[in-house]
Amino acid sequence: MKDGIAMLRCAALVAAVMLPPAATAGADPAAFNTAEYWFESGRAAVARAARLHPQGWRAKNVILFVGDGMGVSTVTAARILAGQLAGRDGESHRLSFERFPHLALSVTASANQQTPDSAPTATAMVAGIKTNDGAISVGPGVERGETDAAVIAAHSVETILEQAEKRGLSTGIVTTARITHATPAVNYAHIGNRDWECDSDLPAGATVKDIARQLVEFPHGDGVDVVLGGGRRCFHGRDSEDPEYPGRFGRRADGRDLIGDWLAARPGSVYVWNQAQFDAVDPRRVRRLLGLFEPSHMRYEADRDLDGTGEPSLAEMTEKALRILQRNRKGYYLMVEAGRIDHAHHAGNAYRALVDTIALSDAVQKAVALTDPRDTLIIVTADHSHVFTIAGYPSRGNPILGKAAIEGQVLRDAFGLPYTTLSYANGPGYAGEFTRRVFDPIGERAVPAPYPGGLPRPDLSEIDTTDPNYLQEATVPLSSETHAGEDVAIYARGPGAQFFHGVQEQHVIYHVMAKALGFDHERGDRRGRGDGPRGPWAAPRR
Amino acid sequence: MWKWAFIGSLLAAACMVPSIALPSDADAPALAAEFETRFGKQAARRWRLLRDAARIEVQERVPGVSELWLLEGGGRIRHLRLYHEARAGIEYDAADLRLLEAVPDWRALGRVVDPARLERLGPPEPAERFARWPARRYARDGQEVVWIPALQLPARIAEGEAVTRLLAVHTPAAAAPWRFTDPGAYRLIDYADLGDMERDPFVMRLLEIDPDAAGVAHHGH
Repeated sequence: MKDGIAMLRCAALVAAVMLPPAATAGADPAAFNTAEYWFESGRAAVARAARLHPQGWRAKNVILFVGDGMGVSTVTAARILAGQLAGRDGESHRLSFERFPHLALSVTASANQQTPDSAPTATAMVAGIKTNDGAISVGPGVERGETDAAVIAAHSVETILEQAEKRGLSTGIVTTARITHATPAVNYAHIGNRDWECDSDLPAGATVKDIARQLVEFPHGDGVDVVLGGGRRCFHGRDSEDPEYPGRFGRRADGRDLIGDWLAARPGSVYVWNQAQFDAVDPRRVRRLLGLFEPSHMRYEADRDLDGTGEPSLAEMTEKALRILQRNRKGYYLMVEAGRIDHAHHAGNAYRALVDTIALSDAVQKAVALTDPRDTLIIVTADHSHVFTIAGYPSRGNPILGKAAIEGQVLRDAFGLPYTTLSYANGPGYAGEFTRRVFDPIGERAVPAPYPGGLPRPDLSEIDTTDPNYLQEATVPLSSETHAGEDVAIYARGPGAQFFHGVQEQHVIYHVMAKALGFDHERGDRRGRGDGPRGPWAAPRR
Repeated sequence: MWKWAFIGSLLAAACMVPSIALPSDADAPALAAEFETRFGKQAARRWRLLRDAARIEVQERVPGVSELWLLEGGGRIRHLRLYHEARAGIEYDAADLRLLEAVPDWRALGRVVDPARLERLGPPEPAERFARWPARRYARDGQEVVWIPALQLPARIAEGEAVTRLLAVHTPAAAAPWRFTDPGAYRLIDYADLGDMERDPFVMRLLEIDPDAAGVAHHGH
């Protein structure tokens, strides 16, 4: 954990100096944690709120940050971790976007899911409709397995990025996931199944184009100007070796070199796949940039230093993208996704999820520093939550990754066993009775066995739960921890940010962006808008 | 009952190391071997080990599953768990293995028995040859390993009711009737993507087929 802490401490310190007065408390609660302090800081907060006024509603630029799977509990835990890593009071620390003036709750249920996946939620955010699981910017009338390009075209819903391109704005997509993954894909692709990222994923006879090809053959405006993320493998053929990992090959069955095609279609564009190449890109000279830094997802922020050829951070990619896009006087639309918060949660590993959340905060801070709140709307939100919770009654200042404790006294469950503050409702961290692995000395394999003394849970007394690889316990055993259905937060600043208020459906995010950019009077190409739902919730046909 | 075959399938459990293992393994020849493991009166299970300088594959330790380990540049290890009937596989990259604390020691993985374990069993004594290869016997406290130095492989491992025997070995491996599985013939799914594939028929069945493949690992619990 030491390396990660050192890296984060620096970032957290930088963030800490940007905090409002109420959040600059030191590490020692005794120094500020008084009734007088709280009363006065509360009064000051109201005074600041009274001075708050909207920045108008027309924006030249829009930046949409998405923390994939970044539920409210994740934001809270990340804020505490960031503060504690900086040697400060974690509870009063604030991530960069938590200081934005406008906030709403976003209802994430999709057209057919109470708890959604990333495809319909991201579609809601960039296309303004609710749709079904797996759907990438197509209406809910499309079957997930629809392979007919004509049917997909008939149900496609125009996205904010497509509208921006048509109007001559610059556009960009930045993610730490594969660029063909659901959240980034909704900007430029239309397809019924989010998993059809390469042509080799498509069923035989499919006429719809795979997601990677749709990016390269994007038909609107002059194409997406800045594309940074992972997912190289869907851009070259099975006989084409990966430049970073000899022995690994692309996944395209058609053998096409989509990177070459991208470059050929965009004279003067640049492709990079490692840190040195990325650093060499001069945003004053490059107008179009494609960066694919891994065959699959980019690394977790906590593991980024392990990459042999280096990968830029989310903040670095955000800065590079903004400096390129800002050259267009007409404005720009940029989506930035912290895509791996979700993956770390699925793995049941809070540490990486929180570190990636802090990395998102750093990227937002970079955007704040590079933009003018009078002409740029910045939105930070999540597509959905995770079953991740902050539990027990730990004292203020208790290590967020540690065991729940009051004034250093570890709290114990009904069996007398310690437990951690952070845990999951389900997932790989299940450690209930008979799940302990004992290495069979002969077969040298693990076998189910009860814990010593017949205890139903592991005894964490001697376990370092702050270890980066620790998997927090889960109540229900699942191969992968799941999304959660509660609302997520929307944080916003800049023109139009005031339109976020109260509890709003997730697709409202698109409509706020469209209004801010002046697209709200356009009908656009919105063929999927007339789609009705599929499934048992559909109204009976007469 | 919740099973723990994933880590169990790592042949040398004691080989788990917190960081990337050193790839130096020049003294372990490429080979293909077949073993039989019997637990008491249970039916014996046959499984195979294939290894070369950059690949280690365990076949049929879990029925219908091949566990393929790939050594890449910089000592990085990648793991593929291949399900033959479904023609699908789960791919764990180095970061996934690190997160799961499942980064194996390459030397131990390909030898079935961790060499360090042999040291713990004390000084060896001569043992009966296995085919044309001299062997040594290590034994202590009811544990026994008959070791073939030239192959860097055990001929026999025994403790209590569990006995593993080497049935056949082919070196060079090209002479063996078994081949490394070609992962290119399988639909590979990133371990990190499992959580977002809740509607995928194969992923939906994965817990049933192989509950531990999805990353349930030993995390100090």
